[in-house]
Amino acid sequence: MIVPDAPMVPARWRVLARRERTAEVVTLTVAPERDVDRLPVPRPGQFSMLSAGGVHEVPISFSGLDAAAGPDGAVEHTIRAVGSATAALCELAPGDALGVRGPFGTAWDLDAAEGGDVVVMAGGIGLAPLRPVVELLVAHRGAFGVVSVLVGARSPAEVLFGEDLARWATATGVAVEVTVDSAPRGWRGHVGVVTQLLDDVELSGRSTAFVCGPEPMMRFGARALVAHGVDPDRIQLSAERNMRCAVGHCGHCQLGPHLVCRDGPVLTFPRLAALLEVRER
Amino acid sequence: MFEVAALDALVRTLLADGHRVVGPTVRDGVVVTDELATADDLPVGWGDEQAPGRYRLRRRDDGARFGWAVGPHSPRREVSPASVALVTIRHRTDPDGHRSFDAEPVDPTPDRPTAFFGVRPCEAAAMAVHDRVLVGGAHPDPVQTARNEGRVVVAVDCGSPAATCFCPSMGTGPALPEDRAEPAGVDLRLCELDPDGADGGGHRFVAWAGTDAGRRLLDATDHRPATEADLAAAAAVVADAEARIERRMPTDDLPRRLADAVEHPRWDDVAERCLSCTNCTLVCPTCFCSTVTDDVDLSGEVTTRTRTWDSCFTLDHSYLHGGSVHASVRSRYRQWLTHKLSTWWDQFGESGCVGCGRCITWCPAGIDLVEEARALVGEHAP
Amino acid sequence: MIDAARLATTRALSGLSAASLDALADLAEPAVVDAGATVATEGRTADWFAVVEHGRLAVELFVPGRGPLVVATIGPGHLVGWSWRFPPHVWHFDVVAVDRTQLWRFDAAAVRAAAAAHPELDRELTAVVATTMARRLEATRLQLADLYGRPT
Repeated sequence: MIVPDAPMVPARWRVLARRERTAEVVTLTVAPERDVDRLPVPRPGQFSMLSAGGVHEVPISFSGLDAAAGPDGAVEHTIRAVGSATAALCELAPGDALGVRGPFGTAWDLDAAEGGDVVVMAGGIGLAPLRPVVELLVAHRGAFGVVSVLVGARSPAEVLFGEDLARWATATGVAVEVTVDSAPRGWRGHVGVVTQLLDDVELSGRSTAFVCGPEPMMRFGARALVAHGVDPDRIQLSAERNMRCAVGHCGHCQLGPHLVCRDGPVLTFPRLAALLEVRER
Repeated sequence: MFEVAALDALVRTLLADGHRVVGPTVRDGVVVTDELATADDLPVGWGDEQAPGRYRLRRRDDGARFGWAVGPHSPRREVSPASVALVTIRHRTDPDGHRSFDAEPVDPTPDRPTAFFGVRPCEAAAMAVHDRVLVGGAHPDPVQTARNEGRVVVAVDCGSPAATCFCPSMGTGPALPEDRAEPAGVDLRLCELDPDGADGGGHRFVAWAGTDAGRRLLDATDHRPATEADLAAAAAVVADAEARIERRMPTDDLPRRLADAVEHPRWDDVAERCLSCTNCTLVCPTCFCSTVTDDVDLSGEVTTRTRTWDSCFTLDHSYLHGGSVHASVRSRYRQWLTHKLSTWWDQFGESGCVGCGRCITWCPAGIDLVEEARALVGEHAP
Repeated sequence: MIDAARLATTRALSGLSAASLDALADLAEPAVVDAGATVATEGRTADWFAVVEHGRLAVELFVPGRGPLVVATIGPGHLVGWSWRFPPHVWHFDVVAVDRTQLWRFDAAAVRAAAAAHPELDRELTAVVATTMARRLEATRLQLADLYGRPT
């Protein structure tokens, strides 16, 4: 348990499985080692602070929650090695321990999307925090209208969760489109930016959008969604900032009036729009 | 009401009760906060002169104990220490060769509770602001919670404000607002009267007990009820101090007006002067930014998860794989000022500034937060 | 020639006036290209353009050592080719069919003649080409920014 009076103590979890997705992206399946290490069942969009190898903690979203409510409480985190802390996590082998604190933050609001069409727009590693959302949308097809999953990646080799994308595309009423920045001849998908994929999606004021990826991509993506008729209040984004404590004490994750660890990472577009326009020059 | 000589009884009672008494004392030409053994350790007969980028002590011609404004230290140093160990993580290898660890919280209980002696109203306000951030949210900080346990606060009204003070416009001084005695956890409120004997009443203190602990403290001194004259003199001290404070923060709709000024050219102007030295954040009584590091010892077997003061003026405060969000001084200064005066309201429901003026005094470039705020909202100094 | 209503539903031409749509519909020739077929070659004269009805085309840049690099794909409803509109009227990239693709092909000379006779058509076609170029330039710049690439 996250000890209420010791929120900075990591629980001891074990790596159950490790899967290399690309040269720099790894998915770890992790589970609590003892009952005392169990944490509350996470919701899609939330994150945990993970630590390994004596390097500092990093916030990593949940990329798989199918087994989270099950007996072993296993969850999946997909990590891109961009620094020493993430590199240490990507080097963990099944059986190794890692420190976990969480879950923290706000979740993707799926209730708000019920009864209407849904667009999931993901860029790069941004597909990882959205994967549990798509699994829920596919599992509960009846509650939603048409589901469009629009994915952008750098190149065909860097498209994440290819098997899941293929599986989702077979579900009725679910459309999956993938675009890359460039590709060798032979690539059967799109080449261009993920916003261009909106051209073939029917959108209305009742549509809900979940967007996650690099900040410029979310900025352009949200604007494109609005231009296609989506209500700004129904566009949910996932913000990212430097995090040290994840419990609202250290001040690092500030994004204007928001503490991303507490008020985010999922925030609706109107709450972020003005902030995304500010040039931190 | 009690004579000045009885001040020491308060200190000794607190020590006898097992408290660590911290309060103002003079060292190296500055009023700092340190452990007090007796009331003689107070800055007896000292005054100060403060201005943007300037601090000097001066000798008074009386024996006032609190005849100065504030020094660079604030109660924050005691409640949220600059560096504190949070967790001990012992690394080990399992029999099957896999890496593992055991983690335990470091006991945050101090060996003695702290008694804050001589806290100014602005500092009492800052302690309340700090509490709201660190223990008022969903995850109360165990260090602050432990250090607040058994805390005693003896506050003193301000009779000698500095030129950099602006507490009246922030609603935090120069005396404790009536409703603050209890919520801010002030046990005993004092007002120093007649240090130079001019009004005939003698060097004495009027005291108000805000809690049972305060009443017990008062009972340890040789005191008598304050007279009407005493109370009038105390009111006069405060009114006089307030009248002398000219600096005024433009608080009318300030948060929104600052948010609207996000592209104001003044930011470029102050960025040319700001050294990004972090002094302001170090002396500010409400700043709470910290960083958490996992420090491995030489053996590689023990990691201590440590929390250390941090400042939003450092380049890596906002580091995000590949670069910092606030990569320029302009960006960081804007972040600090808008947080303190504007977005703190969104995050915590109140202002982050208590009007103590320390950031103005201790800025080596002499940057004045109040003047900058005025310029940003289009007002000019009176 | 085809029914103007079919052009009216395409994203590229939906903003055209009825008269312009009629004029273009008169000049449209349905065409089919097989998957893998080269549709246009860099440097060759751009004497036609098209709107994709069904399928997908790839805009390619040949890079020695890397082979053909797809820098954009064009799907249903979108314009193929703008070089016909401006001198020197040559294709700037290769265009290859990804899937079997049905398009409405327009002879550039015929369209230029019709535009000379109908100023409104001329104006509207310029707007179509400009809008297409602007959208593709915006996309290209985002692709160029390599947002998903290494952090530094």
